[in-house]
Amino acid sequence: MKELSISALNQSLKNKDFTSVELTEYFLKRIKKYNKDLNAVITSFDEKALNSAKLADEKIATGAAPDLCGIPILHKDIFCTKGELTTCGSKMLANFVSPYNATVVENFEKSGLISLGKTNMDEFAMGSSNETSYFGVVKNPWALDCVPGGSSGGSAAAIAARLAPAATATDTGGSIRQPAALCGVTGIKPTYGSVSRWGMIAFASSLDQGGPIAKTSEDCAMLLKCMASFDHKDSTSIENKRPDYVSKLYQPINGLKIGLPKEYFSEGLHPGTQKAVENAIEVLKGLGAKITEVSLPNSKLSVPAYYVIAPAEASANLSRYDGVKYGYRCKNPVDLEDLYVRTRSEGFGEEVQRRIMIGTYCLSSGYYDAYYKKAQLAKELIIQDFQTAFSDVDLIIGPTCPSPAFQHGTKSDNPVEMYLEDVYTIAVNLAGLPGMSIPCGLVSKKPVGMQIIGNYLEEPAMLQVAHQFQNVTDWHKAVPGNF
Amino acid sequence: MSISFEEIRKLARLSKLQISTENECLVKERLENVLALVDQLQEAETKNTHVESSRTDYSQRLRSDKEVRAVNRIELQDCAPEISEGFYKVPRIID
Amino acid sequence: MSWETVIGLEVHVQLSTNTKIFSSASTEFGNEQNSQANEIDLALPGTLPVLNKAALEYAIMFGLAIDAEINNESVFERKNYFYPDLPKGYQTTQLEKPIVGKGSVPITLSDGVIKNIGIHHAHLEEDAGKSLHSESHRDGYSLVDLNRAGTPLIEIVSEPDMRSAAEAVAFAKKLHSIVTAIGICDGDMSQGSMRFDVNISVRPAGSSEFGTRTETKNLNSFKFMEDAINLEVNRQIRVLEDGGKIMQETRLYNGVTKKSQSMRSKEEANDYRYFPCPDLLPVHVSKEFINNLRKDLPELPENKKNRYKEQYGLSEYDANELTENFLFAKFFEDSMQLFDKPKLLANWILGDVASKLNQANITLKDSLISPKHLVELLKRIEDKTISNKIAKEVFEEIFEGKGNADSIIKEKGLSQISDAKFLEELVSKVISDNPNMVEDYIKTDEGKRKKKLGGFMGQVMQKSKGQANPQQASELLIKHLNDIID
Repeated sequence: MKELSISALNQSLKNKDFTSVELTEYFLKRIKKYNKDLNAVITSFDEKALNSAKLADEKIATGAAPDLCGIPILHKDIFCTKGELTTCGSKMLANFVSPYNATVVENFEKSGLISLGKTNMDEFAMGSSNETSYFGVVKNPWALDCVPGGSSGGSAAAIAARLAPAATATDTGGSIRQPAALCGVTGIKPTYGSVSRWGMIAFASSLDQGGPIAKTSEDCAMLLKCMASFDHKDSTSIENKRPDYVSKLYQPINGLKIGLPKEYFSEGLHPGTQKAVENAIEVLKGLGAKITEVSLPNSKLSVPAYYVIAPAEASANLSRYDGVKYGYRCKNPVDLEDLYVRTRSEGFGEEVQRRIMIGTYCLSSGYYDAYYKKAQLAKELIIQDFQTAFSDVDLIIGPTCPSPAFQHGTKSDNPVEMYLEDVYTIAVNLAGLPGMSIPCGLVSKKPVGMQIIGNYLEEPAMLQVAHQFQNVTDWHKAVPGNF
Repeated sequence: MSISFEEIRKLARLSKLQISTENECLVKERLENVLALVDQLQEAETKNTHVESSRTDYSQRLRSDKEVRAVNRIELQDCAPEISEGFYKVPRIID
Repeated sequence: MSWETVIGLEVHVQLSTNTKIFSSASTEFGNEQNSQANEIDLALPGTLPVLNKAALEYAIMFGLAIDAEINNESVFERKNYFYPDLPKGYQTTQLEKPIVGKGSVPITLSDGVIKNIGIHHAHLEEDAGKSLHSESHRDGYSLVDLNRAGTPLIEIVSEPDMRSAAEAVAFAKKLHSIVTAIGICDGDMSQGSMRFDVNISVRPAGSSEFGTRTETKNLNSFKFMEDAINLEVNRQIRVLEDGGKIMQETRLYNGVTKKSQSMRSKEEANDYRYFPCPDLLPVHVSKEFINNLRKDLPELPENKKNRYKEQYGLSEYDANELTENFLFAKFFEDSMQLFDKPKLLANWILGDVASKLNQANITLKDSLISPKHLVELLKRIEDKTISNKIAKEVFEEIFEGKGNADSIIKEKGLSQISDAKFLEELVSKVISDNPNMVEDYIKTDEGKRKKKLGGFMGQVMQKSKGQANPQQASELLIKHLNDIID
């Protein structure tokens, strides 16, 4: 059951090959068995999941169940789930039971999917290795001494270890794509505004986007169809009709123009990774794609710009955590100042505190122009780069990460080393473009991911290329040994 | 780009964070690492660039002035650390 | 040394929308604590703002009412600081690109001259919550109510064009009359619907440099504003004349003690780190949108005043007083529908009605007097059922809800006595009872006799319990007295 695709599961449930209860129990058991080795799941819903599965089975029996009804899904612990813990990987929200559901969660529940539980993540989505979570580090199923990537490390690891057929995740600078790459699974961050941010705890509002992680592109397309929706409660939600994500999947990619940014294939790229991605590109050529070189000359500005804009927005977004309305509160505050300072210093981890201070610095009087305003202008240059490239090509392809998964603790001393993990993914968030990662090789038994970037609302073409690639390759089928 | 201890303390005050004296040096070092990264922005040639008003040309949507549903105070205060007769209780505010 | 005062005002006006500026919780005043703070107002993790259309419309209507520029594009920004009544840890407001640009508000000075007070801009923002504090500071606590958090405000920033407390008060009153007349604010200052921050500085008369200014915050009555300004101006002059310097600071005025004090200054001025709010998109308003609002804009007080002068022949003073207070104007017009005597109505509304309201410390809204009540009373004066003097007594009773004109007149037997026979007898009696007064009257020069009538009238009124028709009685007295003289 763990290897079945979403559409196969869908079919099997409808055919009554097995019930949703059986399916849910199966995955809950896997979580129980393997999570202690991975620490991918913070909260398992158990009772609640089985109850939902029972209801799903009843619905399926009527013959009028929606697509995907009865399929279990894990939610990154950044999505508010009513009546259950939503921790955001932080001590600050370790006891927070949300009184409302995120729109993403509502969308899936309305379609009858079974919420299995909440996955581990870097604290407040700040990280590229899932090492900053209050609930402990997550281990990469491919190499337990290595990181799964972050911030959606829990979701990616869970899919890799087949603890669920689907998981939700979020991506602000690469947090879906990078862990998907390091764990050998498929993940997509859609165009900014596609997925509602209502109930998706904010890190950097202008960059955050939710998206699915699953075993294949086809799975992701079906999940995205359910996940993405116009939401009037989110002012940044796109009002126009969303594209039909599954529409192009099965079409051949002859003549599709693909650009390879020369800046993404230069220094800093691990040779094994480079080789894997180049091989993958050969496969695409074989499928009829036309490959050209493109240039994104302002690429080197992406990481600096991101590390101004994201922390700046985060510094304001995280001001609400003050021990007054919800969440952690320090013991016996002597006065108001003490309440704020101790609550926040005890409730937030080091990386979060650092980013808040960087953000405060970049917005402060005297520095606003040199940093925040400058970063916004740099962002414009990056957007222009992409628009220039997309006037020549349909999609842009390159490596997702500079190297395969690294060992825990090896990048913790210098924050900037960690930040450079996102060197290929960050520009996509700054531009608001859609980006996805699919597995395209193994280097020393550790997965390598290929990133596909499209122009606004071009997810169908991206999913199409990915699906066609997965039709003729097996990388996405590889499962780490013990799972 | 270096940052002084005084500036770090000011940032901490503005952000309501506390940096213990033992940690000050490490915090300074790591902040300076990040500042060195973001200072690379100064190399950007942005003289002729301006910020587009909105990437996707959307305008702020307007909501109709109707109450959607009554507030369920009990439900919303369930997660509150300290409540007193429906008020949020905090140490005394001194102006 | 002669000093000139320079005053600028920042006025916070609570918009009378049904729901908050960024959430759909109700803005109704006076309900149980935190019963109107929803998940957005509480800043629960994951919540997001969406702009209330009515709040935007009301802001634009204000701009139109003061002939200001309406900006096609305006942007919301985050003003960052920590305070328990500010749930998000930032206030969503506008800074670089406010909705309303430059405008002006004409005020009438005491000598009748009209002065234009410049408006720098007006912007939309959200209000904070409220807190109550325990008595003691030590081991004390505060209780936070977030019902008010998120209520839409427009902040109106004037140019430093005012030169006296009187001008500032005139300006504040004018703003009050405008926002109530166009229906964007209920104007109830006791409920905090309008709050004033005053920026005051002084400079040597004739100087063109501005002195250092201080800010006095949160004044919620015209009287307090006037007193606070005068107090501060005097304080600043004293400091400067003693050779000191004015510190730029924020002060609080206590209307009870009539003293002001400097707010405890923080270690450094708060750096608010404004930046555009990424959860909201730029607000774009089309010319069409603005024109539709312009078309439906209710009559402005200035126009109403001029109309009253032309249409009803009211004086500048009366017309101004009536139109400055939106409730009075409405009362007046409703009364006019029933009784076409504008001057009489104006006198009563601005006189008796206003003074009773003042005494009872309530507004027309809360009083028991209706246009119908007033008109009934005035009709009884007109048809001579009662005299003007008696009418005032009856009015008191109506005000206290003891009935309407007719019921009270009947109950208390206050009908004016116009019975000629009765009055003849009464006048005769008074004259015959007071031979000394009669002598005095006869001895007085003709031109000055009228004054002496008062004594006789007093007796007539006393004997008739005030119900004698004064005009008739007066005529009869004069006739009888003249008969005696002849």
